[in-house]
Amino acid sequence: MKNFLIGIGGTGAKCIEHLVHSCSAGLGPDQLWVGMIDQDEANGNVNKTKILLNKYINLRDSLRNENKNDLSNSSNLLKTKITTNNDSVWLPLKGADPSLKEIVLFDALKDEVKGLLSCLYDPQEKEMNLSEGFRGRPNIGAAAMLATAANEDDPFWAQIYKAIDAAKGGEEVRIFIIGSIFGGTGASGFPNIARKIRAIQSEKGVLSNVNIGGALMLPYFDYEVPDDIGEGEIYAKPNQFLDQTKAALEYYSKLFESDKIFNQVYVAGWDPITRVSKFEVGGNTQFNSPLFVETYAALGALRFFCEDNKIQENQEIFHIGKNDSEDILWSDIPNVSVNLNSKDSLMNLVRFAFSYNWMYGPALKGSWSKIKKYSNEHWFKRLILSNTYEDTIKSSTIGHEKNQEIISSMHEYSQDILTWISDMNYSTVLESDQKMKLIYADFFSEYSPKNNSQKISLKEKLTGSDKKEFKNLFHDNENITLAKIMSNISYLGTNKDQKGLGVFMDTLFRSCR
Amino acid sequence: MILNILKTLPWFILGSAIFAVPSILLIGALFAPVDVESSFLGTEWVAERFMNLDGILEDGQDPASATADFNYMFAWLNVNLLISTIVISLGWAIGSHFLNIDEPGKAKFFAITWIIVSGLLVGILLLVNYAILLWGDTFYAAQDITTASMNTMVLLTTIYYGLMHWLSCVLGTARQARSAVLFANQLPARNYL
Repeated sequence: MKNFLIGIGGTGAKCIEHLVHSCSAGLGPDQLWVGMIDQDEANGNVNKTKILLNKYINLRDSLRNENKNDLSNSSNLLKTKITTNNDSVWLPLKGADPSLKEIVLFDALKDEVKGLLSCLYDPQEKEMNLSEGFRGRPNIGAAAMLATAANEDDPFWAQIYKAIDAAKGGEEVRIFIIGSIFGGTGASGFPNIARKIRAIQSEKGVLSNVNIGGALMLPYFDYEVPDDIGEGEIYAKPNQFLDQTKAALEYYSKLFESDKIFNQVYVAGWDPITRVSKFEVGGNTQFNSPLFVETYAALGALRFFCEDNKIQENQEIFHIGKNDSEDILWSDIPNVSVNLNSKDSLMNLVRFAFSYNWMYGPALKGSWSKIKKYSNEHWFKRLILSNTYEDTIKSSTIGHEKNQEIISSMHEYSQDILTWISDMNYSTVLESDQKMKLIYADFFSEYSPKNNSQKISLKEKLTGSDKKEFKNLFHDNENITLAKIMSNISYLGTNKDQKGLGVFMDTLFRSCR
Repeated sequence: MILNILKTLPWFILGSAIFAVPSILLIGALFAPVDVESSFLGTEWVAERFMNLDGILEDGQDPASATADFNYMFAWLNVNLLISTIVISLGWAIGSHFLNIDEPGKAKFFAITWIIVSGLLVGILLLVNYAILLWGDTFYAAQDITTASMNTMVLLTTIYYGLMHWLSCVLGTARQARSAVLFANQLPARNYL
């Protein structure tokens, strides 16, 4: 089975962030191609996800190398083989500062068509510079996307064409699209990209094996628009989100009745809507924090890709929201399948990231002369020394550049995981009466909602009392101590097909369960 | 945790058994009726090595009967020492799983704890020895042994059971706590050890 995920717009990119972390926890399929669509190439969230994807892919490649450092197929850590194009983002409109007028060749149109377009778009919209996205205007986005052909030579669409070819060869292909219903890019791209894929499918004469799923995000955040914003400025207006959503849902209702584009659609929303801390029209400063509801879209995608999920003939629509109380609990996180418990896997991942970031990662960093002080400890001898020892130099290669690169990459990735969960924990309930009862992050991180580029700062070092707080990390009964992890890492057996640093990484990961 | 303790216990038992089995055999032999003709633990041999033979004869005691009393006392001494050692060592072996070793490099700080536990054991061994051989009146044979032989017995039993404690701790300490026990971190690290 081949799996493809397309995140449209800033929301799509944000949901992919949740999905990547879920995949590193072992909730994903074996293989997944990920692509993003955003006209706002510099969008802060899109860039963040791009970087995260690269980190994941590089780290996984280093730790899933059968000859050197191998986690083995049985390990759930970084389980999913995620691939992406060299540039994971597809820009529907290429060229510098494109406008709708240029795209539709407005000046060359007949007068009656010009008149029609003028009815649909006001002068500002026609002239608007689209390099920072469609700014909450799906009517512009839809026109722009439909105006661009799905070109087989384009690296993004080449993947879709390949997928359809694979389906023609009898392989099942699952494509999942994530977008918001209330924005510009997502709302315009969601149905149109799916339609384009179906069009390619019929063009190639592929009648089966292609399943399309999607996650539609209903309004779940808004922001305060600053008073100083220019009068003529076009931007996504939060007070229009609900009206836009209502209209869009009516459209989808009709679409789903008449046309079976999607096999499964997951609809997620949030009430009350989360207030994000800073408003930006677009560009690299549009950098919104991860929010809890995006996890629903990510887990919906993973459910769609799960082999246990049998796609029905009829179009299925699923919706999800949290429990009625003001508390956001672990029980609000749905499982990917009967065999894939999301709560356990995500807790496992966070514990791993914590213990790696502050306990084990620092011990493994540096030259052998610094690291060797641990060489008499059981976990080190069994998991590191015996797997990195080289006869020719009669020493461990743990201090060598290649291994140190992996250790540093994992350190960085662990910080991404901790930052992600902490930011989600704080930002979801910012300025609301809701209480986030997932993790207790105060003892290892600081939250600065006004600092848009770095809302979360992780502590450099933990004090003894901070470490003791680890046993209260989750608002749940399933907490363990760091001493328990040390005990587990000393006793858990290793798999024979693991190699190098993969042995340690997998054992630590399993020790955090 | 329980599983980890169960994984370590066989190694603890092995370490203890190396010393405990000879000790139990000795205790069994000491409780057995005195074999006058035996060259090991025989009447003459014991009387010559450990007892004030002249004093026994002066008191009009039968050396064979005095030797039997001595054997009985020495058997009980060993029983007490063995139990003390097993209790303390097993306590450490199980307790080591609960030490707050939460990060690499922390185990060695618990060496002090192990030294205190081991010191406590040595103290108990000496206490048991002197309680039976010197201060107590439970065993009549205590009066018949020389000071030199008493000191020899105290020294040898303390070393013997001290070694038993050390070996059982080397093999039976929780893997993550091995740096706390003298030379225990020199053991090879395997999935089963």
